[in-house]
Amino acid sequence: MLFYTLPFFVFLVVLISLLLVTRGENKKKLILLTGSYIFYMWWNPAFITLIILSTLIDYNLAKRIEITETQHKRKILLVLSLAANLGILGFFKYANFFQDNLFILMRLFGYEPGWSAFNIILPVGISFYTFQTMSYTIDVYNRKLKATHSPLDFAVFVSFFPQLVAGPIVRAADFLPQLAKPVKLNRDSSALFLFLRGLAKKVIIADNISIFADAVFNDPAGWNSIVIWVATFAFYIQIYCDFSGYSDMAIAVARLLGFDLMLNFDRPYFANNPSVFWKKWHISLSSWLRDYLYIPLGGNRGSVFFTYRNLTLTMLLGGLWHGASWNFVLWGALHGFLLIAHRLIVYLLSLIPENYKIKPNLITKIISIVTLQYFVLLTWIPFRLVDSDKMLYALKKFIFFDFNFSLTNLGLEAMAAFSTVALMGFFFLLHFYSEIFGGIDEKLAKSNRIVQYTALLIIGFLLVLLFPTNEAPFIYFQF
Amino acid sequence: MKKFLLKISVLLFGSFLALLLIPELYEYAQSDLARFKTLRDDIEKREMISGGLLFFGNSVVMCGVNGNLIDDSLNTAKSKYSYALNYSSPGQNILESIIFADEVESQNSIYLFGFTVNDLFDDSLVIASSKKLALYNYGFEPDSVSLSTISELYDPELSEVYSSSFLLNSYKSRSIVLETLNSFLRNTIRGGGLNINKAYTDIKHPQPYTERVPNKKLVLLLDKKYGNINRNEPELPSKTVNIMRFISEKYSIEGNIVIFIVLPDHPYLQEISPQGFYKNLGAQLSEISELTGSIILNYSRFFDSELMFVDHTHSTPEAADSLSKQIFSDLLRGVKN
Repeated sequence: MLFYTLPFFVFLVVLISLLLVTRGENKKKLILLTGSYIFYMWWNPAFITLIILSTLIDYNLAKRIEITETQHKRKILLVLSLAANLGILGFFKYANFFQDNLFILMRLFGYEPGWSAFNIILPVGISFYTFQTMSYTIDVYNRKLKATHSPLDFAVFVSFFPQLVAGPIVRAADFLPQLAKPVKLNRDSSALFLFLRGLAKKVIIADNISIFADAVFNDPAGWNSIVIWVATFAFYIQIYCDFSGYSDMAIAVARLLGFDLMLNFDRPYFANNPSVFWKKWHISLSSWLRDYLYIPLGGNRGSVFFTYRNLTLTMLLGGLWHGASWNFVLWGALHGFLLIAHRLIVYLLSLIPENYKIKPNLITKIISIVTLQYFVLLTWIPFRLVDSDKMLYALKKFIFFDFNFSLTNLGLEAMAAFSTVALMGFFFLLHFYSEIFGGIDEKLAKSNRIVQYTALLIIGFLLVLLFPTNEAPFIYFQF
Repeated sequence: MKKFLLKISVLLFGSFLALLLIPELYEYAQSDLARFKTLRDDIEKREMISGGLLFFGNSVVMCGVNGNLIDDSLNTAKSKYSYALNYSSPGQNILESIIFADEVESQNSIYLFGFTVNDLFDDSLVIASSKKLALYNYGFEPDSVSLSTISELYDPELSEVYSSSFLLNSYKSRSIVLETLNSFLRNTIRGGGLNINKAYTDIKHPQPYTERVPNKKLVLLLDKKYGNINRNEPELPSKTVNIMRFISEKYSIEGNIVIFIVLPDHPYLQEISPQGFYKNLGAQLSEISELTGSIILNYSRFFDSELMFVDHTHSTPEAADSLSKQIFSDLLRGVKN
């Protein structure tokens, strides 16, 4: 049930209507829970059992952790919770990957596997809700949060449908207090305009651009550097608009239902160093990895070597979180390398005497943005291409530019190359506008009625005209 | 709540306006599909075609058949046929050709349907969705016999287009907006070597490509376009025979004659084809000709030099003249016989 399909709108209208006519907070929460389960079961009804299992385990273990005095026993309970969550995630997400690599290793040493390969289906959203429940138990263990004594509240927290399948990864500390207040629908324009912003990003930009990016990256061999560059830029924009578009819609639907979810993207393509980039890109995941992995590993509290080790480990696991494939590990490693390189550069710059330092200005800012974004672009190639031959070819053409600008007779028009370039320009215009003047949706939500109606008329008009004819599922659904 | 619902209504009203506008866009859109409009207008203008040579096919026919040259030759030869019309369009396969041919009212004319060799072996031909909708929006409508034959043999979705509601077809036709943008930018950026206006409007020799692509690029193009071609299955599919029979029977009325033209293969394709492929193809075409009672002119190996092509498939203007002269002389001989 995608956010922009008819079944979802029917589902949302029915849900809102039921919430409007229902009296009693628990009944409203029960409606939210039932709605969330139906929303999830729309993909595969069987996998709801995993969510229920995860909910039951973490609700009970967290309560036990809270009342247990002995540190040793508390630790055992925490380990149990982590083992259960990571066990579910590991089995459903990484078993195929483990098996494939085991087969390769066995064959390398001359053994033929004596069993036939199993193929486990990946339950949608599993990486998101397991991280969510794990953070809850860890917070209770660290006494940063009190365990909830309402199984209903906890079940709604785990399965809240707007963010269930692709985030943002919500923290219990942010969400459970909202459930303690009455469920109150929000009818102001901000949710509507935010939803439309996300929808436009997803369907007008990401999906239309994906035609060209897919056409090139499905078979990159033979394309010259300029085509590889444009396709990489296309994917750079596609993945941002696809994922941040989903996040915008998720936040908007939650807002409509009276809940606030955390910001997940903050114009990351204006980041001027890797550290800032990760404060602006997939914020709910990067802050999760920071709080529950990087800091517990020691963060930057030890020697330089340990800091770099912690950064590398965090980014490798962050890469692996995205998918059970070596290309995601490489993507994580490259980002880890960027973070380390940035720290080294900052350290080396700090050694320059004050008199010789260049003061930050607009030009240095632009240079640093362009430099970082070059590397961000480059890292999207291993993210996009699983096949190593294709990846190496694309990387070679991207890094060693061939200065072959010949574009005629290559069938580019059939791949919608020219409209893709126009949409890329449109994206950068909007991105610049929102960086300089702030979000368009916020401005529209605060404007007068005539401006709002005119904007809605134009948006409705453009959405139909530019709605893609190809079906492109959300990229992050596969994670 | 009322204000919120009003806002949703305004949004939906905007969408509804877009749905009403989309079919109108076809009349003004300068996309590759605009050639359909040129064909429609020409067919409507002529009402009844008498003594014409009507060429149907894809961009190979657009480039390879020079109607002006054939007109001159017809005049010189004082033939009973007086003019040639090039009703080809980009990517027009035999199914599309049928839809265009259905619109023509004619007598004592010759219908010439161009096939590429690859099309002859393709038993899964379909009309691209955007083209089906463009045909619908430009007012082309195959008759019930053609519709059911095309739908049954190749493309079941074609009849869906003609049985769907106006609003649904309008919504499905929305890709015209981005296609027009794509074509506009392509034509603006590309400049030299592409005479797109000629392709949209010329009914005699709508050759859009005139400049040869550099050799380095040609190698890339040939590999991209033909790298996966498999010509190891020499049997022509029965669907090809059936559709040729259908065409032959359907349009051979009112003194009209149907001729099939097998278009020239690029020498690269000739090289990669197994030995005996073209001989076998020729023999099968002769059989089909006898079986269906139709005339088939096989030019698959007409060009043996890369220099006759501007790219991987389109002939140069000089090669087009050469092919047109050959077609004319074969017609003259065939008709006299």
